[in-house]
Amino acid sequence: MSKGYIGKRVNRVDALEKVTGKALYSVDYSMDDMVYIKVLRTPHPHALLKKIDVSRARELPGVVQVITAADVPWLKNFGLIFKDQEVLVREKTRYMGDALAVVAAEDERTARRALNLIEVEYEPLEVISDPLRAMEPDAPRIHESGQVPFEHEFNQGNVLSIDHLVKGDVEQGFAQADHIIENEFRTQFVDHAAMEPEAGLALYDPDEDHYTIWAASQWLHDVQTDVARVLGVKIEQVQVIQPTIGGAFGRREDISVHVILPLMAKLTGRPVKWVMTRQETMLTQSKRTPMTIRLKTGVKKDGTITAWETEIVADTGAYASTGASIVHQALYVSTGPYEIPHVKGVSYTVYTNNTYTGAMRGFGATEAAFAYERQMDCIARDLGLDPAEFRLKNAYTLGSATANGQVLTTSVGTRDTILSAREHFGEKGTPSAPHKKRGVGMATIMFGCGYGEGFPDHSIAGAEVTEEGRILIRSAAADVGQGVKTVLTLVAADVLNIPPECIDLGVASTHSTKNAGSTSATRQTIFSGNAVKLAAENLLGKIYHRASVELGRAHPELSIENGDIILHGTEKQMTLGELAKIAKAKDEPLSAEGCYFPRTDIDYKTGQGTNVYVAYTYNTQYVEVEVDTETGQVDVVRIVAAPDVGKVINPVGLEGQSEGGSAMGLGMALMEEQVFAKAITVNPDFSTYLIPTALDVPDVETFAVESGDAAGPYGAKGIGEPAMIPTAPAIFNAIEDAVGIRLYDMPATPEKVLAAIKAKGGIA
Amino acid sequence: MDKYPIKLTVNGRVHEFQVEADLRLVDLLRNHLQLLGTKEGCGKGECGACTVLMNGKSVTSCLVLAVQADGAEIVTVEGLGGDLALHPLQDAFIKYGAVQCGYCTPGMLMSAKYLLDINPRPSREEIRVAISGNLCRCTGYTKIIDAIQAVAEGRRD
Repeated sequence: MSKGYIGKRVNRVDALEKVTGKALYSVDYSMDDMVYIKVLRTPHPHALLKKIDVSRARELPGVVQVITAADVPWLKNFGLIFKDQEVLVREKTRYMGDALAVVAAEDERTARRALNLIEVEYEPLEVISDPLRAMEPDAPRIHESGQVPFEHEFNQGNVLSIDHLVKGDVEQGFAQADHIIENEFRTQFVDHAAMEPEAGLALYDPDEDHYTIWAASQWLHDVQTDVARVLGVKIEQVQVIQPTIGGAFGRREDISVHVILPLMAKLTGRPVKWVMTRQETMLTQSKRTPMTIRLKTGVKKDGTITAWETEIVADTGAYASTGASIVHQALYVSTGPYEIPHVKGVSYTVYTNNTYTGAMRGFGATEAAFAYERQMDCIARDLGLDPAEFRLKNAYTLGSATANGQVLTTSVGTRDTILSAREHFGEKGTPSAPHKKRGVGMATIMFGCGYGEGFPDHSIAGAEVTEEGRILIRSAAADVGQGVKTVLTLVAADVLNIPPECIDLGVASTHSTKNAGSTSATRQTIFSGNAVKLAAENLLGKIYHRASVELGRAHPELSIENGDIILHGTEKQMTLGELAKIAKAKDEPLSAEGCYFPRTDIDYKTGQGTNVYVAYTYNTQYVEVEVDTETGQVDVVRIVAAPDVGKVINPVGLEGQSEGGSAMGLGMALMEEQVFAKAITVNPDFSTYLIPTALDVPDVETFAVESGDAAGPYGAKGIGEPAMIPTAPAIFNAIEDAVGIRLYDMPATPEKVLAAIKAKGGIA
Repeated sequence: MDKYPIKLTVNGRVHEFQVEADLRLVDLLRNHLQLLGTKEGCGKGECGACTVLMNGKSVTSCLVLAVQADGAEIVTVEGLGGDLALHPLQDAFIKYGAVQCGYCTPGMLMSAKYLLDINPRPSREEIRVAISGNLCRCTGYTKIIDAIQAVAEGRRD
């Protein structure tokens, strides 16, 4: 029950520094006497490193140090789950972003020149850019043996992981069906294209043997752990400080600058700065995992779905990162939010020499939803069923079991999202020209919040009263732009009954804040929100206790309102600040902690569990497109979104995520593709990798569904990823509605749309 | 490399420098004047993050050489507001939720300022065109357009 701050339209707590240009991002940190880093990358995505000679680079005036793998043999490998990435290539390259040498110089120009003076001899190997080729028995091995199984069955060769899903008996299910529909869908490599490229600064203190790093990351404490491991030092020796972050969308989960910076700080004895160009960021950092998803669905005449079978082949690129988890999450949600008694599925996560793929908004659920919402629409059309009614007939309600066997006991707003989006969308509009056609499409999706699947997931937060009477919240939760800082402020304000303006969020660093988990998996509102709520409640208890001891009174005579301790019926008052001083002097400071650490589970052999995710967000979008039948261009003219977020804590933030997420989904549907030719990135800049501009995105209308009763504070669930997931399939469904063409591969570029229109014999 | 003398006004203050021929305006602003508000997003003039006003017109400062700015008047995001108050655009961006990660925001503000300087009452479509060269990956643009429209319509809510 909110005291009034939850659901209020407030200004973002960090907006002022951003509009004045005062916010400091990774690239904005500098120190005197810095050296500048540049890294030599390989032109060959798969080649043996025969020889590397840095002597000429070392001789260039202004170069401070140049290293290769031979100079740092003690470095360990790194990686988010599987530690299969080398800091510097030892024997062979696996993708064109592999690092061969690091140059530190007095200025960037000298560092760049030094790169050109490094001589390398390669022996090219067969480049594998297709997962199907990678899976062939005679394909060269991209990684040698020694991969960690980590509870996943894995194959010999280039298959990193094979995962399974078994619920009921699909043979029985298909036997019950009147119709069986099979389709194959494909998703593409996508770049996160966060506006801030990678950058950072590091310092080494030789007296303390201590490293300090300023570099953006979605997970401060995980970066700290991995950096310490790779460098072979203790965790306490590494401090990571979080700058303002210029977007992430999954790209900042992986190590980028975080190892090389402190390494070079120690080797050069000077502060070290590294700024990646956009091109370098696009060439070397992770991508969305492309998937080929085959679906086979059994459905009765009346529209009841009886069975569902899924097969996924996914390209994790040169390194595992979180690839296996992404792909098996896609498998687990591949049926969508529909109640289906019999499900079977298998997924293959495959290494290739393409850029490694990692977390990107949706983490497999986006790719899966493209497939299952296209499938649902194809089925509806083939059987002559209304798309919304067909979905409503099968959609989850309270008591439904997911494909993982989890029975949903709370906060199932699936049907409400369909009804709300449909009602708010209303009618299709009229085309703006005779050769243009309008179409409407919908998509309904689900997203499990938190890591789920038994992966330990927790967040710790601190709350204290300062002597000035302000509240200081300590949380390591990374605000990548989504607005978690504002959410946490509102939660604390509500619990403590103190205006948000009196609450400060401390700087997030590994030394001043405890592990809050990553800003990913749409988990921060639930996990850090709960942690802050618990910390604030603990703090409130301490305030009440200290106040009652000092003033000898309790509720209802004693209350805490807007920063003051008030005794009713008297004039006695004390400020929170005064109380904090007294408490500190008595060795019981007004400082508290909270930790949220729920348990989830899964059996990896079958993909079944009882509590696979703590909460699921549902989202339905209705999209209207206008297709130009002469050029194939698709304009999106309306988007109506109805996300079920349990409870809206920060309405402005929710709308912002829904609007931004829809734009990202639109980009994926219509224009974005990181193109590789033999594993070489062909389009590493914004003129050839197109993301939506203000001319491409319509005004998005968002109508939140509050099903309440979810795991987060005040019954809230997250929005970050589910905000973007329905848009792409809804657009494809709308295209079919407009011009009768059925597309299965993303993106639906004008060329593809036009070709399909022509193949159909034009539009009547 | 030879150095060239330049003299330019930045946010109302005159500065003189000796610069190399290939120094970009964005680097002059950030590294020589410590005006870190102007951001670099791509280095190729394709994203708009580095937008500043040069002699009253919006330019991508990553494609302007410092020597080209000799004698010019430059305004960056730091020069938008006064000492006592924010510029109405900055105020509106805060109030309308037009800021998320904030990396595109300085460039976006400068493009918006240029628009309102030359077209004080733009339509929503004209606003879209004016900011079409400023890429934003977070917001989907809706609230940015709302904020600019509010300033154009003189709304002070």
